[in-house]
Amino acid sequence: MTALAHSVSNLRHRPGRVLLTAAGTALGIATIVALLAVSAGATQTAGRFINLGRSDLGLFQRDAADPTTSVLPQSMIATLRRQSWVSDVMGLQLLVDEVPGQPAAILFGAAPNSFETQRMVFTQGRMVGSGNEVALGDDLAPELHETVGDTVLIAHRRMRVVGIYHIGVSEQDSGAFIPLSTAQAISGHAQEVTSIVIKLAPGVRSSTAKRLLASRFPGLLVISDPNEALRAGANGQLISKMSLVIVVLALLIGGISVMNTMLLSVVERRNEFALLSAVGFSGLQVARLVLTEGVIISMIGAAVGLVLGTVGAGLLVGALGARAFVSPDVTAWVLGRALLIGILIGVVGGLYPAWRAAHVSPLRVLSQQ
Amino acid sequence: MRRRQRASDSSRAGEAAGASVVLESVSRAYRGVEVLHDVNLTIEPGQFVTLVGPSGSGKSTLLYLMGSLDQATRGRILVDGVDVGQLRRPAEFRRSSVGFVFQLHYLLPALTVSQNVELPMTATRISGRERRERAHLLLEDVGLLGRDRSLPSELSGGERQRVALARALANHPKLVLADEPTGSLDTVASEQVWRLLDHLCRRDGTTVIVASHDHGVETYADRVLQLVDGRLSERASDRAQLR
Repeated sequence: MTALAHSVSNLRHRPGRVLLTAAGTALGIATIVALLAVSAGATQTAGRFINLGRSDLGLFQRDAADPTTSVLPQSMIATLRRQSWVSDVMGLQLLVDEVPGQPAAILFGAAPNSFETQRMVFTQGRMVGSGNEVALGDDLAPELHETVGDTVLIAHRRMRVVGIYHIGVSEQDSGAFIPLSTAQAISGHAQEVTSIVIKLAPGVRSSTAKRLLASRFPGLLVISDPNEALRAGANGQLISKMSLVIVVLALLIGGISVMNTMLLSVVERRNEFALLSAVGFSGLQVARLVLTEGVIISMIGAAVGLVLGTVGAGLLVGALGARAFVSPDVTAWVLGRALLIGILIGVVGGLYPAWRAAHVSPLRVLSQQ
Repeated sequence: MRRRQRASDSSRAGEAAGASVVLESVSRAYRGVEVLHDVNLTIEPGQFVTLVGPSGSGKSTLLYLMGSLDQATRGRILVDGVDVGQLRRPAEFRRSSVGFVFQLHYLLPALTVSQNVELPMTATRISGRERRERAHLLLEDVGLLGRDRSLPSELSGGERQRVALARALANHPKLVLADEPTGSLDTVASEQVWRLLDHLCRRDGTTVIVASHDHGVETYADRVLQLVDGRLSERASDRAQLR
């Protein structure tokens, strides 16, 4: 019998308590997995925003709540177009909550002849021209039961469907394109755009362009990497910080839960620890036994939590009505971090009980017989 | 089976000599109250010694001092020449040199009989295979081979104490300290335990010190020591008188 087998036998002897403690850990880990997966999904989504039309850089207003609330002057587009290191530039006006019954659908206001719209493949009709015209993504059109020639109510305006397109980016295929001027009128920000995307001239490095932009336009957030995209919005930062808070809370609550169970176990098993000491177990060996039990409990909880969290991430996105907007991204890194936190919960929760068990006096316990 | 027998013979060969125990002016006081007064004693290797005396006379205290579970207030205790009071790693000493049997069996309820016997060996570097083989032989010795996979809760009181005896012998100790090992057993079960203790320890040359109220043990003892109010005296044992 190994020390590990000894720990497992002890845990099997108290299945109810082990499962209840593991359940507490599982909930904490599930929350972490769900939040990390949604956070990773949101990063990808935001990353796809800056990569619209295969652009190299995305410009946002610094400290905007999220990418859709960023406000930039449209005049910047002309200024940027004059720069030698810029190949092409376009403005985008992003609108949310404007399509009735489709809270996740995003409206993209863009100039009809911009480089972004050149990637659109029209399965029916054509690109918007001006005024109250709309092109629907091929995921959104069936949801609305509309086709070319129909009229759809968007932002309290009756708009005519002129085309149905496919791009291959889920946020755009489940959204719609309208003329930039119409989007500006809806948002009440004439001569302003949400973001500006830039294609760099051949041979120009994005780091160089970012430096030039930062010195020329203070207050601008320039993003070149999808992994930086969460910085584009305070909401993204909020998710990121919330994940950190939940991780700390899970560590504390899970740790206390494991500690409580293990302490109870140590008090109940004073005879056992006294005996182990009497037969020659060192304090370290006794402590390791208790610590191993704590880690096993939290690993069981973590394993269940990983499954719950993976399922829960999808449910969370659905509950937030952002299924089309954000796809939870359960990566090996997300699962690995959650598992690591699970192990930490066991170690943190098991340390004090292990110390107590290692200091049980065999004399005091065994002489009370 | 032959291989197991060889392992048994080789493991028993090196343990022929028990420990000598020497107590020099040993006293022990708890919160100013002295429970052992100036005890002097020499026990030869391989002797079976019985410690008798009324409750509270200091029998258990004396055993715990010799087994390094407690520290003397004054004097010194040498087990096989090792000053027990000066040990830096008493757990290591207990693991390698001492086997304990208590009034209560203290078998771990979550472990099988065999695993309980293996327990002291898990604190050592002995391989899993050797641990299992040793546990098998020890259970054979105490007549519980068929119960190796049973849980302690499935055994009688006498059987549990025999398992505890096997556990005490697991690391081939030089000294076995038994504190009222038959205190919870009936006469028949007690007699079995005494006989086993006597047989196994004499076979292996182990020094045995037993604290007990049970006069049955005196039949097996080389020496009978009496503790009254913490003071030690010796009287002739039945075995010595028979000689």
